[in-house]
Amino acid sequence: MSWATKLESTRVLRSLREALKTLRPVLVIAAVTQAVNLSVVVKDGFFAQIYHLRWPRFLPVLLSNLTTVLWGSLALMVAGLMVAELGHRYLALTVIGVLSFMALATADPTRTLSWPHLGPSALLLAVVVAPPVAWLFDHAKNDHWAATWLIGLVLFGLVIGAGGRLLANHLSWSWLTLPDLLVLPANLALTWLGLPPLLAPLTNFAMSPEAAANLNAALAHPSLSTIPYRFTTGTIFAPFANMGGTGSMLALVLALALVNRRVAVPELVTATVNLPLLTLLSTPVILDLRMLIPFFLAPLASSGIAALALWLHLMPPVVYPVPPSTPAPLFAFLGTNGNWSALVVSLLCLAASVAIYYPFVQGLTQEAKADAKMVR
Amino acid sequence: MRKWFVKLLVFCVLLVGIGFPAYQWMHTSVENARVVHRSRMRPIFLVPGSSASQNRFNALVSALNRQTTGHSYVKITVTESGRLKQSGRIAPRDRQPYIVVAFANNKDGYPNIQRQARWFNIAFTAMAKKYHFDRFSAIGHSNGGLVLTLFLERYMDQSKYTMQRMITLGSPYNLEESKPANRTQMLTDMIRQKKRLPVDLTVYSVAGSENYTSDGIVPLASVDAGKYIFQNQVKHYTMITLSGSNAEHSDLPQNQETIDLIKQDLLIKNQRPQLRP
Repeated sequence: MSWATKLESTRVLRSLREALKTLRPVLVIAAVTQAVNLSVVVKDGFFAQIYHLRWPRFLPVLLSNLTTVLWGSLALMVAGLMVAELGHRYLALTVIGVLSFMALATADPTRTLSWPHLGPSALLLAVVVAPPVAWLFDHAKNDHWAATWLIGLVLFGLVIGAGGRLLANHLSWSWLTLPDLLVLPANLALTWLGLPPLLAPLTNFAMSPEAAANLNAALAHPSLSTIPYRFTTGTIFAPFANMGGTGSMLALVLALALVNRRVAVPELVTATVNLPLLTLLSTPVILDLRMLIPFFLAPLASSGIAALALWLHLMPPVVYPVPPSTPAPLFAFLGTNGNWSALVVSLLCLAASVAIYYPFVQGLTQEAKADAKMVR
Repeated sequence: MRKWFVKLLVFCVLLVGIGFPAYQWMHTSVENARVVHRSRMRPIFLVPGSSASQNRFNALVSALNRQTTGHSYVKITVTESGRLKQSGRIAPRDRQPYIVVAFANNKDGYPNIQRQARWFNIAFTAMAKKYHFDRFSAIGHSNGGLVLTLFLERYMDQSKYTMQRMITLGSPYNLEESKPANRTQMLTDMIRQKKRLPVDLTVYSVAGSENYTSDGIVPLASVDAGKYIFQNQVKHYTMITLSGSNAEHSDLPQNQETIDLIKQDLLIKNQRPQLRP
């Protein structure tokens, strides 16, 4: 038994997978709500832009609050389910303890009723917190000690919440200015670990100084051949290596559909507007060592193809800003103001990514089938 | 077989239904961006005060056109229903036309000033759409300065437009009140919403002084109250007090100092400085 399979079979990871499987309806509702909000309702959403949609002003606020609450409650439920699976004694107290700790740690204790850290990132906290809490209550000597742990957890949660608030005010990734070549792998690694990524989903690359210089040149000159910065995250990563969000999740969804002969509609919908989280959690890719290889390889291969095509002048660079929720295959086509060779290159990148994911997805499916037989 | 056909049909409909509007939308937005990028027009908007018509700035503009290279002069009056009546036109290639926006209902009072700000927004948006500019400056006489301030605080989309400079001439930021401690509802509202004023704006507030306390109509302290709105919010805020001839409230636009200020700070200098012999 290799160390990879050993890690796979640990109780912690298995309890996380079980929890996510049980909570799939909530996961789907949260992800689809977020996708609809960011692509259809929000002012710079792709569909809102192309169909000139107008919504009452409260709707985007309502939906984004709903998204946060759904992801947050999902994190709480994952924590609860995980401790229930991992723990053996004082189960009720353990669940209460982990839930109150999570709620307090993600809150902003300096304000009334504000949960700024409740959201997708709280999922990681749930995974980190659940096992030690379960262990703690398992090793409580008697009822008295269990009650003490509960109070301790509540107080500790408050301290973490306040500390997190302090840290959030003073720390961010922004001090870390990596060269473009390193951003992509670093971002992939952070996402795979379930950590907040360097490039938030739906990062708008049109904001960088290079992108602004490119756009200026493109608007001033009729041809796109003279733009100053040809190889940037905005011209290579965003349109070609980020299809469906970090790790080319759209390719994974398509590979899954090809293997299973069935399309997972929620995953397809969210990946189409470049939101990767649902696919990352439901496949699952996060913390799965076997998926690590295609997860890195697919975006890197796409970047390579795109860079080669740019270098050989087969297509013009992507310069015009498009909404971040633009469906991945159309991203480059629209960003070059309708260049057909850019469309061909992006389809090629997508096909290459699907081909990279295909064998790994096949392996996963066969294993799942074998597991199902064993259970029976 | 049938199933596959239906699936293919749905896929094609989706592809065309998304691809075609997206393609068209991209084309128009790139075309619009091109036009704005090429447009180097930076008009100067002029807003008269209460009881004044669109001809209020005739003397100022003709003096400016006599003393500089000259620019087009467009006058717009907004009716109560928000329709625009325009006279004059902008010459092609004129980079800094003067655009007067006057109001058919030019009565005084805070409720009416708020209505005028809304009307100004209608005229401004129509002009911006027609001429595709994104930068502009503005001059407001008396209540016109209040209209411009309210427009900045309540209507202007800062992601689309930049007001570079604003000159207000004898604008009573505290209405007729001469005690700074007695703040009118309007001043309170303006101060409350000051955070919405653009941070890269330069403001000149010109006050006239006839008798040490007022320009004959507006108290000096009321013009001075503008500091509570602009100071520590916009990039530069300068208050200038004029005295001597033509320092009366209604003469401020024709005052040579005002004209010099506009020449120096609002107009793009297109003449080369003359070489000394």
